[in-house]
Amino acid sequence: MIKKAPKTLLVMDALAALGLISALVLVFFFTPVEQTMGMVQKVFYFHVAATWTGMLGFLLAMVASVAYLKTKKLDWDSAAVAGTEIGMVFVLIGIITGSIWAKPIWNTWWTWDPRLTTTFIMELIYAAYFVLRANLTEIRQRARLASIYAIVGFTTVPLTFLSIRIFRSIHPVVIGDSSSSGMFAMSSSMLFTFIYSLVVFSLFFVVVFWHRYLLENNQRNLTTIIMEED
Amino acid sequence: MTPDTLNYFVAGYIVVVLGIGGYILSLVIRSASLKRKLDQKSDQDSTRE
Repeated sequence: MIKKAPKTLLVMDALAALGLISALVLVFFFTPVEQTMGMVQKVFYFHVAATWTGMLGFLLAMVASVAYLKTKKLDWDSAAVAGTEIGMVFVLIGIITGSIWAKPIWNTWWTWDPRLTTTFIMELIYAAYFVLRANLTEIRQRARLASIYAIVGFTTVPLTFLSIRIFRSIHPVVIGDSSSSGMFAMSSSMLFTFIYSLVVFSLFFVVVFWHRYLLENNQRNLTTIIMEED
Repeated sequence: MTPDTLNYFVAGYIVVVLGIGGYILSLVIRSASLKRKLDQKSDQDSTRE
């Protein structure tokens, strides 16, 4: 019942660590300094990659929740917990780095722009996911209600992603519209580093997700064993 | 002239490193705690037998 991390995962750990270090090296030494923003523009590479990873976590949590409701296998519930937790951590990193970027560029740490507001609401909604779980003790009931909540809560993810396209926003549109306000022209080295960071963070997400999934599964299995004995 | 925003750049990457590092550390601590509980459990089981 207790699963150990497979060797493949340990190899992927090393690859992800190397990937993150090399991405940092690229950001620090390979990309040029943007003329109008200066060094702070370089925050953009990991800011976008972290937020992307967070949304990937929420997407996976939604898929796992649908799978749980369909199959009633608790492994899917563990996957949903792992995805949501990682999503929250990385979106929070995205929010804070975005705020740091905003200070010299927008002259404020925070503004209630549609993108920032929807991201903040999304983070709060997923925080409530854990509040809900903490208040339900029966394993099956907790898994069922949390799954429904994660599916409904996921509606905030496409809303956040599309907010800068639907509403009037000062947030730059990175993917799809290079002519938007606040967007800068990316040189080939900038574009390469940006895509490289996205790929590395995606790999890192897989690795961290796998570890968190195993931890959640093992914790639940141990709790079940102890409860059955009592 | 290019503005001097080095401090913000450094602050941004400190947040990234601390955020990712902190989360990995929390996973390591929780895994170690689980391992400790499993060891205690197997000790209890072997004592009963």
